[in-house]
Amino acid sequence: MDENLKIAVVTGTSRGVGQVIAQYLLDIGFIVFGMSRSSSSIQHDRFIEIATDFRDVASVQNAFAVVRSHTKIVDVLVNNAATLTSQYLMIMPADAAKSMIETNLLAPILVTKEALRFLRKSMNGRIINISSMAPRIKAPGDAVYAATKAGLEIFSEITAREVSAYGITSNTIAISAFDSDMFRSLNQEVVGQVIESLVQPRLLSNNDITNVLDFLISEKSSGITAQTIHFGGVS
Amino acid sequence: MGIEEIEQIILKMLGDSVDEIELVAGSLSLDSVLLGENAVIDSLSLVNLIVDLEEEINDRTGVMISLTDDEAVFAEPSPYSSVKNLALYVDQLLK
Repeated sequence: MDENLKIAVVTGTSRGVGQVIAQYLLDIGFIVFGMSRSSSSIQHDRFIEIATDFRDVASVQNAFAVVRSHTKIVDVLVNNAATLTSQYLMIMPADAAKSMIETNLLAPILVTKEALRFLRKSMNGRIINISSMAPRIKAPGDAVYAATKAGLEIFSEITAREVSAYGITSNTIAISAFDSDMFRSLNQEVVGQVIESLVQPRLLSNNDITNVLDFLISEKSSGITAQTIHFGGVS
Repeated sequence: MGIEEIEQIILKMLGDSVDEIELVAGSLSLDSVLLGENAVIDSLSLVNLIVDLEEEINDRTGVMISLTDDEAVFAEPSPYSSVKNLALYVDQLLK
């Protein structure tokens, strides 16, 4: 493995935001370990795909054993993998709620714990957590999903304090509306109303997301940590 | 890997850590306390020591041990009560 190249771990690279982020990091010269339950369409000689069940501690540990077999340093971690079931709580299937908590909150905790072994050896370790506008929009049906994302944001902030001594930053990007399988699974009438309520009532482009990613992973952004950057004018 | 080798690894790591926080490394021994009131290192240095030790053991043996799971936390004597007990605990995990 070329030691001059920067290395990233990205979760949820099979589609959506994770795929966009992984492809962008490859485009700017990173080696990318993509952890995902299903395979990605990304074809690249610097893309190493690792099948990972984020609800299984052993699977996450095994994924990082694969990373360890290639490198001892990781420069960037992107916790993106997530699942969403939007449903009124009284009829929310328990398994769906459990899955959201495990994938959206427990998984980033387990992944970050393992990744820190590698990030602390980087001179400019970066943790990027992908959140959502849901904790601020507070739309009916999103109680569990928004709670997991709010938890992720607090997790990111406190992690930032714990890892600051290693020169690692931890920040969150709160996505608004982005055209993805997850987005299309939602009630489009309700989604339309939410988008219309935004300061910028439009879908995000790939460039919107990668621009903020670029800013946060820059060596020049070593002073930016424990922050959440919101899209769409949400606050 | 024998217990003496493990003890030497821990003492070396501890010495490096103590040097970093500008204390006297010469006083370190197998009885040096790692956690609590009389600990020779602070809590962040202990975290580093644990992770470094797990990785060093993995590099040398190919076995990834965990020094922070419930078994380690509730083990008697506590692996963190002294260098000697930490080495003993690692030795048990490797057997």
